[in-house]
Amino acid sequence: MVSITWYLVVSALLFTIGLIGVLVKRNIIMVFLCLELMLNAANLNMVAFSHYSSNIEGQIFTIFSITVAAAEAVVGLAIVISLFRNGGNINIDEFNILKW
Amino acid sequence: MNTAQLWTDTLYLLPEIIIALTGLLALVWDFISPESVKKSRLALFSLFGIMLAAVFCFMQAGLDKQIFSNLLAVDYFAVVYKIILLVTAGMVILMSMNYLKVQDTQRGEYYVLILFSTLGMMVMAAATNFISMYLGLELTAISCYILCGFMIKDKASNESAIKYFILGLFASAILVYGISLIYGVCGSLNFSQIQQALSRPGGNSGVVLLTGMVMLIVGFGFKMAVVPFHMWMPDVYEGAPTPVTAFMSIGPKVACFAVALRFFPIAAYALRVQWGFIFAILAAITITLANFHALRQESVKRMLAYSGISHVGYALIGLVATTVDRQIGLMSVIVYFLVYFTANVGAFGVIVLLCQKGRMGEKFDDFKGLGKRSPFAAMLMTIFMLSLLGIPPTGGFLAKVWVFAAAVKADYMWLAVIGVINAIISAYYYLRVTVMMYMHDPEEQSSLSFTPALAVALYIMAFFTLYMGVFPGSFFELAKKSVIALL
Amino acid sequence: MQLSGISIYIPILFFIVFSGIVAKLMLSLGRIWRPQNQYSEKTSPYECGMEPEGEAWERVVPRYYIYAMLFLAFDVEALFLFVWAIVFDRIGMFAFIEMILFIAILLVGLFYAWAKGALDWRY
Repeated sequence: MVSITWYLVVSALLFTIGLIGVLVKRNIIMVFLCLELMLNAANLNMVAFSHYSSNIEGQIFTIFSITVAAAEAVVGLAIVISLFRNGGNINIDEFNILKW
Repeated sequence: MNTAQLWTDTLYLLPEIIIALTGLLALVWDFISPESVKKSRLALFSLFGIMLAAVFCFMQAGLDKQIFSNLLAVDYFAVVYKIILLVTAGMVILMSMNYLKVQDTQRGEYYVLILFSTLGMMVMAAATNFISMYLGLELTAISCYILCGFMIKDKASNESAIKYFILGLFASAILVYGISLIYGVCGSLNFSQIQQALSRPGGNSGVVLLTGMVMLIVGFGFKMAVVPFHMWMPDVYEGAPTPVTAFMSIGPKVACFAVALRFFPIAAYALRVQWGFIFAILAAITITLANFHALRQESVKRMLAYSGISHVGYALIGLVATTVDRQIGLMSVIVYFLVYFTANVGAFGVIVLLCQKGRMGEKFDDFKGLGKRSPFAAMLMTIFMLSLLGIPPTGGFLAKVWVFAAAVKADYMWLAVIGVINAIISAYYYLRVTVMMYMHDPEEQSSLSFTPALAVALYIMAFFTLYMGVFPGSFFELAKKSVIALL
Repeated sequence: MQLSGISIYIPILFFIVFSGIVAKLMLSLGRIWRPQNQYSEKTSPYECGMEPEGEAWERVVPRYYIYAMLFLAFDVEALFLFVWAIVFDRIGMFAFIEMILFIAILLVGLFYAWAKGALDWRY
């Protein structure tokens, strides 16, 4: 058996890579991919914990989380397409009609 | 697995099933009917579904059951929250009939999305497990992303949608990671089992658990727009269509609070020192910063967005107070939201009313001379503003007094003082609207045209705002019953 | 040898390192031994095919994205079918009706996409 620490280390790394990517990347699609990375880090955690505590709930959560992420990806891409058709730009820095 | 149990559990889901069915039928109706059929019929159909669901919700009052192996609870608390959400959805649909006609975007999907979003919120209000909570949260959020970008041709609407989407997904990712850590420590996603795991000796400490808790709070903070996680909100609110803004300023926040009230004071009571401390600080900065931002806004819609943030801060004071006295604290939050939602929906309704062809009616200047153009609208707006500010005889006064009293009772004197000072500061921007309406001359003389549906929505909201201020007894009773169901 | 803990992944580490070395080795050997007569015909993408036109990085028609989105949504939702199939015999009729409802809801979505013209291919 591999100790659970390794899973946690991998998922923490994935989460951090995703987090840094979200903050650094300027292209919306890249930001979106990094967000998915963060979500999947959490899924990895869930499955690992579920396996080690022999409680099935974590895996159920992961199944729901994967399908929800797919639905979210579809909606996100649709928004990006409508943005692209209107402005032709998907660079985060350019979104400045609304200012705080 | 007992199959008969599953069948009976399904019956308890009737309000949710009705909403889902209404949404699906409305979707089918929208694409099979020819263009010439009036879309306002769809609105009426959705309203009918919402009313039917509300009736079934009322019938569930008094039950106390856990269904689908503790995924959802059917109790008084859930019923109260579901009623708030259904009424909000109904009022928003009434407003939208006017708005969509003025903006020439009569599309059936709008009502379908409102219904699906409401469904997600209802699931959240009943959730006693992180799985069902997450599903409800995402159903709500995904529908709201689309609603924000509903004006496909409008760049501001697009931008608002993409901002909301990215930050919403970001919040979800943090939230899920936090949940996974809590799951790892407690060994379950079920609230009651988490409660048991945490109350074991030594069960409420450890770096992993605390990291999970903090991430959970950050995730909820994003969803409820608590400072410093609020930066997305004013932008999103400004860009979204006004009735959608009204919907989003109540629905997701109220639903998130329902989950927070089920989780923090009940399941995570063993950790109350930790989350109580974090929430106390968040509440203090939220109220103060949101207030100062609201002071310098030129758009009423944006001002209401910031005022909404500060109201979440006031409600958080009630949540903090639960660390000492759970009953008083929980009751104060529930009462606060009952009052806040009526006044806020109403205020957005007046903006919708001002939105005429070629004029959005969102700026302070648009309110100039409203007292002369439409005394009815000006009077209602004054009531809503007074309630948001917290002046008797409106409901807002009692709600604020309760929250502050709960904070004092819980030995959070400093928090109550910050709250009171900010309530006084907020008088400036709420009363500014009133001053604009009564002490300035109108910029244009044209009379306002609006549908009876909108007037009905405004009247109902104003009635309840005043009723709660004058006869608060029955609402306290409601809050008390729902808290007892929870504890 | 009995491996335990994280060390069961040591063979995989060997595999990664070894495959890297082999790939590098083969490429370098090829570079040393192959005949060095380059001319323009030799370096073109398709030596005995048509001349390619335009750039490789071309913008994709947005229509593709709509198909991709629909595929993504319906494809992933099928995930629930696997889980359902495992417990089907234990919860019987209830599971069957639930799955019919689930697929019916997905079908409404499909018909919606169809009615809105997302499935017609237009240029």
